Formats: sequence, C-alpha cells, structure tokens
Amino acid sequence: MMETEYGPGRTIPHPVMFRVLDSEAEDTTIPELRVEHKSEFAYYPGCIDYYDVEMQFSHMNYGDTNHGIIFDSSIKLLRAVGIQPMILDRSFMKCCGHDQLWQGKVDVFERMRDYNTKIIKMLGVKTFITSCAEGYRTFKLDYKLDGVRVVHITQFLYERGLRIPPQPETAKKIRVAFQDPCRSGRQMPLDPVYEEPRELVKRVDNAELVELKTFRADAQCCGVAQMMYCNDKTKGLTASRMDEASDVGADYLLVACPKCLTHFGCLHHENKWKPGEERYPFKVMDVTQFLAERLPGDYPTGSNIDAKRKEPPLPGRRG
Amino acid sequence: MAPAVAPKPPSAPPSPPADPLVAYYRNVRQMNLALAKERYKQGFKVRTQEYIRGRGTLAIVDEEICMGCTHCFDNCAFEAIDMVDRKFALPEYTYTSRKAIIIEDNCVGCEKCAIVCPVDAITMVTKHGFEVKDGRVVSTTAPPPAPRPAAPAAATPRPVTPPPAARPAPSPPTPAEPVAPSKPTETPSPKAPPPKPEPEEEEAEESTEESTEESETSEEDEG
Repeated sequence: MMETEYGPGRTIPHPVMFRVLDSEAEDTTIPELRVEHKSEFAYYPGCIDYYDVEMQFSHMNYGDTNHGIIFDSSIKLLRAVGIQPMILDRSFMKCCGHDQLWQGKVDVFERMRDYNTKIIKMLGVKTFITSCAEGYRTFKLDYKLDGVRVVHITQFLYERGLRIPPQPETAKKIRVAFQDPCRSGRQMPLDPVYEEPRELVKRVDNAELVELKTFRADAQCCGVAQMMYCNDKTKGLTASRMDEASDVGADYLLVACPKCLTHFGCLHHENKWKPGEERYPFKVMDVTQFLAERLPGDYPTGSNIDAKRKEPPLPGRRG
Repeated sequence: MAPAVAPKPPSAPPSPPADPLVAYYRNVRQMNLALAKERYKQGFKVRTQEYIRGRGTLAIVDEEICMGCTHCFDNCAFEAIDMVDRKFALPEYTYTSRKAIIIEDNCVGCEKCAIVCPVDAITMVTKHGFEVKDGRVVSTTAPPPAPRPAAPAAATPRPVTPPPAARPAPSPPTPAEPVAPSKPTETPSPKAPPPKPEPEEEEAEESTEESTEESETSEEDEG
C-alpha cells in the first residue's frame, strides 16, 4: 500500500508492459527533437503501440482488436476537418503517467509529467489533441499545462464540424452503442466528454444510436479500470457490460478509450473460441475508427497486425 | 545483364503516397511501433532468467491470477497445458472464465509457460524428491553425480567398511562385484526396482543427512 493524493494505491502483479513504461521514466534527458511537420495542433497517440504489442504478446490480438488503427483513423479525421497535426510520438515523448499515478507510483508519474511538460512547451503546442480518455484526463487535470488547450479528439471534431458524407443506399441500418469511458466521463470534473461522440455518431445517416442499460455518468466500467488487475471479478464486469450491448441488439459497440477496447476485445476474442456459443455478435471498435470508415478515402488502416495471424488459432493448435 | 535490367527490388512497397504528409504520418506510425516492440523486447528479456528449470520441476498455475490468455497453451511443446472454463455464479449473473491447467504427467519443467505468462500466474516448483541446490535442480533420492573427495566419517558410523572399499562404491556404472548385504551401501544398487517405497525413503533420508548444510541454504532461497 502506498499513499497517493487519490488515496491508497494497490500493489498488484504488473504485466510486462508496466515495467517497460516505468523504465521510460528512468532517463529523462531531453533528446534532440526532430519533428518534420511543425504545427500548433499536436496529436498524441498515447500508448496504443504498446497495447498492440502487449495484446499480441498476450495472444489477445489476431487482427480484430487493432489499436494502431486509432492513430490512422484520428489522422484521417483530423485531416478531414482541415488540420494537419504534429505528431507527439513516442520517440521523444513519454507515457502520460496515468497508470503510474493511479497505481501509486507518484514519483514515476512526476518525472514523466515534468519531462512531457517540458517537451510540450518547447514545441509550442497550442492545442493538444488526444484520442485516449486517460490521456485526456491526465493532461487536463494532473498536468499543469497553462496556455495549452487539451481536448479529446471527439470534442475537437465536433467543434470543427466534421461532416460525414451520406452513406450509399445499399448500406444497411446499423445499431450503435457507445461505452462512456470513466476517465473522460464521470471522473472528469470539468468538461466531461458525453455529448460529442454521440453527436458525431448521429451524423452517420445509417447508424442508429442506442443507449446501453447504464450510460453517461452512471455508465458501468468496462471492468478492469485501466489495466490494474485482470481476474475473474473484472471479467464478470466486462461480460455483463457486453451482455448489455447484446441485449440492446447493437451491431457496433464503440469505445472512446483504448483500454476499453483492449478489455472488450479480449473477452470478445475469448468467446470466439467457442463457435457454438457465440455470445457477442457485434463488433467492438474505437469511435474514431467507426467514423473514419464512414469517410471516403483509403488512408492506411493499422498495419500493425501480423498478416499471417488474421484468424485466431484453433483450439489445440500450437502457436 | 540481369542486375542491370532489374534495378527495382521485387519486395518494394506498393506505391509511395503522393502526399508527403501521408508519408510523414505513416513513417511516424511505423517508427513508433518498432520502438514499442524494441522496448518491449528489452523488458521481456529479463524474464528468461527468473525461473528454475529442469527435469525435477513442475509448473503450477495460480488460478486467481490466470486470465485465460492461452499463451502458455500455445507455447507448451509437450501438451501439458489445457484450457478449462471455470463457472462463476453471482446472485443474478453467471459467467465463465477461461483458465489454464497443468497436466502434471506431461510437464517436463521447461519453464517456457512461466516465461511467456503475461501476468506471472505460472511459477515453477520442484517435484517431490527434488530440491534446488546452487541454482540447479538435483534429486534428493539419487546420489550426487560427482564422487566425494573423502569418505565422510559422520555418514558412515559403522567402522567395519575399510576406506579402499568405500572409494569405488560411489561410481554406479561399473559395479564390479555384487555388494554384500551386510555392508552398508551409500549408493542405491542399479538393479533395485523403483516401485519399492521403503528403501528409497531410507536412502533419501541418508543422503539428506549427508547434505544438510547445502539443503538448508537452498530452502532459504526457496522461501
């Protein structure tokens, strides 16, 4: 147990990813910044590449849970509203430190915060766009970024007036449910992101937005609460949340947080192993991917998945 | 002639995008992914040194921690892991959770599953009759492979055995003469059938008595 400013932090078995992310904070010397395309609009993709590697490492990802596509979709959407953002990529940025802070490793978080703040100030960022709910909360509340406007990408697209062109006549009607991330929703005391993703989804003309049993500030968590602990209780929470989406007959379950995508995709993948008992007949994807698929153009999609492993292996096959 | 005619490599990327910005974004994306993989590999490397390995070890799964990712299942070369569904019943809700179980007859203690487990749910333990000594798994029932430098006086309390007769005894592959039943034997005779429980236990006790100091240190390491 460790006292943090949010209360006692639990010590739990950490996946390899956390060791990797913690080790980023050890060296905080500022490297030479080579940013090819400077802009006052900066897009921070977060740790999505690490999630992809972690999920492939954990055998949860065979092409259906694709985090890297969030990056590509966000760029496509931002360019559709006339922004050519600068990428704050992970070769000079560090993890935002959300997980470290919420796990009680405040010293690690503070090192990351000071480093990232310095970089953001050096690059002269005015608008900081992130597609990650945790990053949104951390950069907005826990960092002291004076003069930098931190927005979630759905907020930014909404205020810029993203237009989704009419879908072809052959497109069938789809029912779309939205999972409110806790970090950008009820745990965000100012400027919570409730309305913007829903408004954006409503602009897709063949999509009908359905609400889950609990939504907005009452929305049930995806289960795991970042990546604190994956056990049977958290799996039960995730399963009950996905059952809610089945009950309302959703074709898509949209999330606005890469970690919700991780956990839903994990359970989705687990249930694909039992073809007879297909429990969740819907797709799970990020809201940016859903919107970007409705735009014309073919900006690359993901490309982080091993092409040979599109399908999950059959039970009994040796990977 | 052939190299002059074909300057383009056949494995060239499909077509470079006309927009330089797209190339920039694509480049950043690929570079970040490579960076993540590289860093991940570094964090993964230390895990290969963490676990004991050997014939006398066995993998055990902590079901509280196991999240059913099937990584161990896919990596086991001996079909010693199976995935089962545990049922969890709440007052209003029932669900299943997938868990790994070890088939102990097949487990050879290769520690591969413990290395690949993303949540450290698998640990390696020694089987009954084995112990960890100096970082290696040795059997407590069999004699140590190297002959002892001198005949320990404490281990052989009976003064009947002459020293020249005790020297050749610890080399099992060439038992020149059948050992007399009256003489105390430090090593198990190779013809002794394994299912006999009583002599094995006696021998195990003898050998543990001889190596009490070393086993004590190893127990401390395990605890």
